[in-house]
Amino acid sequence: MMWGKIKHWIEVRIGLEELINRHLRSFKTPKGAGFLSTLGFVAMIAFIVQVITGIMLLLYYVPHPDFAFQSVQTITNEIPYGWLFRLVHNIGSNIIIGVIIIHLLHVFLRVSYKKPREITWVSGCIMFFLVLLTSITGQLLPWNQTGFWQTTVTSTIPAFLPIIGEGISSYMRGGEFVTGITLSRYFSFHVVILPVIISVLIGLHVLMIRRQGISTSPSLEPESIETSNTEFKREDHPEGQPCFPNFSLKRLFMVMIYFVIVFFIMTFMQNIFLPPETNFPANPLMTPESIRPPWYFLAPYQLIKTIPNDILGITLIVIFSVGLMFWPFFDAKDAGRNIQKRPLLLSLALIVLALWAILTIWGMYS
Amino acid sequence: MERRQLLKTSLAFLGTTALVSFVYPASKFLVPPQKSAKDAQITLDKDQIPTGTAKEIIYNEIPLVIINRRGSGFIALSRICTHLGCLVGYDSFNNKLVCPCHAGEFDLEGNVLSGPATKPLHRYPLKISSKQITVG
Repeated sequence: MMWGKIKHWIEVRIGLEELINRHLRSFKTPKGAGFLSTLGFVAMIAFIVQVITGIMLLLYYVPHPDFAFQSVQTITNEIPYGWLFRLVHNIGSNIIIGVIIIHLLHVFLRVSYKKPREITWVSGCIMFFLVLLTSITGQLLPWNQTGFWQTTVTSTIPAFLPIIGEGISSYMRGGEFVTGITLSRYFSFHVVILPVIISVLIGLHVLMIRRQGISTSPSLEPESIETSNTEFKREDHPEGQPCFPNFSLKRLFMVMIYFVIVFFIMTFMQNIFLPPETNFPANPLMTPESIRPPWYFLAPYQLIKTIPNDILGITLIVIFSVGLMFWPFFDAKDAGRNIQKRPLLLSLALIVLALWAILTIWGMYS
Repeated sequence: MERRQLLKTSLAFLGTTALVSFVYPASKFLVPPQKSAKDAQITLDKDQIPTGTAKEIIYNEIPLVIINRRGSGFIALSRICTHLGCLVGYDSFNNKLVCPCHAGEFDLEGNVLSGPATKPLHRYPLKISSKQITVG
């Protein structure tokens, strides 16, 4: 009774019911929109988790070379539940990248990037690269041996690029070497600049999805799609299910899976993303015996290590990244979206995936 | 020129000026000034580095290693691996410098022996007197 009155009081003032009807119930998801179609939403929740835990860590973290390592140790060992927020932030930073990779792969294999969804794809790829950059900048903040030397290596890689390479490295480090200046700028990028840009891009990405509608499963779509549209046309899916509550429950289920994975790793494999070197403060005069990037950088790392020509290695990575980002414009022909009927595209995707997996495993054990 | 066109042109001019006025100082702001007070020289006693051993020092904020090679005397080399910037270490047993990151190997002249590095280690000038060695 009391709850009903409160609900009515809020309803009269905000019109929540009307808001849900207009934006969620009337927004239809197409037939065949399964659990994998919720991964973009899961990535957004994972990003929010990173922001919340990051803000909690900020309350005690000190971004100075003399205090950074100790402040992280204090958060982990002395502050009540500090270990929890640090571990969720650390594990979450790895899981979010996994979620985005699977999301990108799913969209690619469904060929959902085609006209009119080029902007959605490009904004998604930019967000992926920015999340990787956020991860790179975050590695240095604890000022431990792993982070310091990983930063030394990652900030040296751009120097291989002709003409502009040295400049990029210098901009990244704020000088010739990794110092307190590097820590300050990595801190500002990690905490403010990159999260703000990513938030704006999430807004653009979601806006595009809302305007265009979620793409239909390629198996349910006609053989050839119309790419010569000159007017905006929204996919309304009148035969589909409402986003709320049907599709929202699937989203919630996948978000729960995300939390289960984070908490499972935290309980049973808490050091999987924190190698022993992370327990030692940064020593600029001693490179640790084994310095290896996180799992998602192992493939490019191994590529650079394997190819004897530095410029060729970095050029291949740049070509792959640019190619991935602008792929909708390379695949703009009026071909169908069913990848099983496009053996060339399917072969290309499988070859790139296999190469990525081989290089990652090779990098892990070399 | 019509008033509307004049307004558009003025807006474009002012917008460009405002953008350039922000972007130029912002790009300069990101590059910290080079430190001018550099160590002119570092002097060490020869006794500190017996034959077949090496000493690690910092010269102008750059980590160096001074090696007393058997039969060839002293040499000062940068410890910064020319591959990805990790620090090489002196392996006295095998007479070479080894990078722990990607197993790059250099001889005691700084030349690449094996591994992913393609450029030799940077060599620094040494002045050697009867009792002392001076870097720089």
